[in-house]
Amino acid sequence: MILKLSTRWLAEFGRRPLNLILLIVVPLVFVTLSAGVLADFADILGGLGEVGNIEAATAGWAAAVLAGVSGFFHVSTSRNADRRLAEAGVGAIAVVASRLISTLALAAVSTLGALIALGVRTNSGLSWRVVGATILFSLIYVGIGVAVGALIESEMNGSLLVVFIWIFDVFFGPAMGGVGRLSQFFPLYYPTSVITSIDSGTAGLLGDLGLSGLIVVLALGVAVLALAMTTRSGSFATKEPPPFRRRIYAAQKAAFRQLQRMPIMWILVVGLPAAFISESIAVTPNSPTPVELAEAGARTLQILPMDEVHGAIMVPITVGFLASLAGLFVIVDSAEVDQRLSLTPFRPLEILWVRFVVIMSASLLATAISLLVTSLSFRPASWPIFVGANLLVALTYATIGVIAGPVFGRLGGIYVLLILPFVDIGLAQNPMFDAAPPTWGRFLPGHGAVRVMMDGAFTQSFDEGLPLFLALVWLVCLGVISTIVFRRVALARVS
Amino acid sequence: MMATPESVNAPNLGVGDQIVLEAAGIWKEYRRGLPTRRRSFPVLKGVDLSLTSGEIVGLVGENGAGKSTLMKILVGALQADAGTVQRTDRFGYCPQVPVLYERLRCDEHLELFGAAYGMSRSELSSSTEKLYEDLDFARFAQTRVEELSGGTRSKLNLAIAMMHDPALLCLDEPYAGFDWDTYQRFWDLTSRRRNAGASLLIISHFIADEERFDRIYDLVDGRAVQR
Repeated sequence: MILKLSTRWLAEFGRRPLNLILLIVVPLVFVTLSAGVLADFADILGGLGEVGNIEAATAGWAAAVLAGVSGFFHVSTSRNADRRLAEAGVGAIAVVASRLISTLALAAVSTLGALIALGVRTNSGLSWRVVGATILFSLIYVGIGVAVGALIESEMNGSLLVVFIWIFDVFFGPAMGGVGRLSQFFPLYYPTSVITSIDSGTAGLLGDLGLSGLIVVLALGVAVLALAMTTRSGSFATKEPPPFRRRIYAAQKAAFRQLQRMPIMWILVVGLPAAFISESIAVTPNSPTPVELAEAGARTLQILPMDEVHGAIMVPITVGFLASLAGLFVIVDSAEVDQRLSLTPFRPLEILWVRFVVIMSASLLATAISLLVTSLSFRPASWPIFVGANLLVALTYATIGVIAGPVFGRLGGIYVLLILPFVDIGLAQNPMFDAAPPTWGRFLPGHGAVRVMMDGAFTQSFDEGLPLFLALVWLVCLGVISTIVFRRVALARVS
Repeated sequence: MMATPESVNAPNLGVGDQIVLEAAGIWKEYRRGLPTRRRSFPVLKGVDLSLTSGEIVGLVGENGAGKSTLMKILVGALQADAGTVQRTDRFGYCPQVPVLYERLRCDEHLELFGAAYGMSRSELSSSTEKLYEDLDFARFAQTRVEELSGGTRSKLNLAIAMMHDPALLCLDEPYAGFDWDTYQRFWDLTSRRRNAGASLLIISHFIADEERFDRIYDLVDGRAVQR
């Protein structure tokens, strides 16, 4: 049965000839045409600028993206029919196994295409290492594509997610100079070390090859699990959940759709950090500037390069501004209909939860993009503290946005949120203006979190316990106030 | 006393045998101006009103008479200064101006409010299909609200109020913006609901088809007077 189903799926795929053509043509074009350009780009970024290394890696990248995207669509477009087939008596195991086998067969075709193209370009035989590593690339992305296809309903969102993972993997991976701790968590980090035969130096006992194998097992394991969960009869995807869960789920889905259709928010969340942070760092001179830092229990003045200080402080400025705007727009935009929704069995706190998740997602995205842009030119001493402090800023300012909308209105709220993050983080907490924050600056909401951020950016140990406590107190207080304000918005029975 | 709507159970609704909405002594005034020079504008001065199952009741009044204010108090969207409201918890409310998410589509609105009302997938599917057909706007199911005409927005606004087949429907000028064909469809739909035992309270600033109503209240000088 499994074999029969697998061949059926492949036949179905082959009935759109364009699919097959793309599966072969894309790796050929990618490998033969792009290797040189990518090598130059990697050289600029400080990566493995040697053409031979990049050529080998491009075969893996091409195989990976095609395996991921074809795996995603192979699962996503047939999800409902597969579930019906499993429920009709074929069983989830046969459906999952056949779906996986046919996806692997498609991945094999694209991998073959990539390897042939690599052979033609290099005009010499391919080593077993390159062939094996290209297969590893492909298998990992089969896992990613299938898992995303099983779990993400929207075809557009899912396919974009796969492509985004791949873009980050390629352009922030070791071949392009990404050697920081963050890039080690990308799925292709260790396989890239294998294909380029440059030791990552961080693989430990298993070595680069062993870790790459482990990632393959993990990716395929997650894929099988996700596929099995969404295919088996009586799975969560088909059962009627209780009303409470259904209404939260429906509202969450609708809220994300609204956000997704808010183009200006996307331009701000994605475009602003990229433009704002990279431009600020680029124009800052590399001159020394004094900064007060806490280390080993004592506060001392340290002289730091100004461009690094600017790189560090631009993240919370951008994140604070964007998170507060997300809070404002999401709440104000939907306030009137949320009132109508609160006349149904929906409770105001449930609606607040839904809105809060959307605001936090937008804020997290803005934080992630800001961190990525910053990481291109600045590496903090401690990534976890630096990231955590910026998340604190995002959360704090998101709640400020939730409060500002209903209190000041849309226009008034925008004015307030244009001023507050810049006065607080951009001016009062900014060490480029003053080595230590002025007294009045200590009473502003961003003070504690920015002190923690500076600690994570420039010192090895954590010494800012009190500012962290202060930041958490601000967050809790603003959280309570924003809940009260939102409840009044959702109920709106006081006029 | 503040009027907080209380739910009354309305089991086995039969025509005319069950009170689904009862408001008594509703008072409401709006206050305007600075705290030192605050002026009060009383709008409702002790409204008494009741609806039993299976009737269509009209609420008529001039502009600014307080019809929408009263409706908001009855459904729980606004708090009165005094009085009591008792109503079934199975009610639907259609506000005067369509209150919709601009960037969601028609079907996404119905999906969201269906889940809010606790409808099962099959109930949602059959109800949605029926309302699209009855109000003739199925072709806009995939269209975002921001791209809809005023009339189609009104249809969706009404569909949201009716989709869960409530025992009580509170409609605030629901046919404003409807063309003649939709206006007729609206009355066909409401008649069928009434015959099935539901009650409808319909606000209008004038009543064109008086014979379609079982009873009519005039809101005059802050009080509801039955014709």
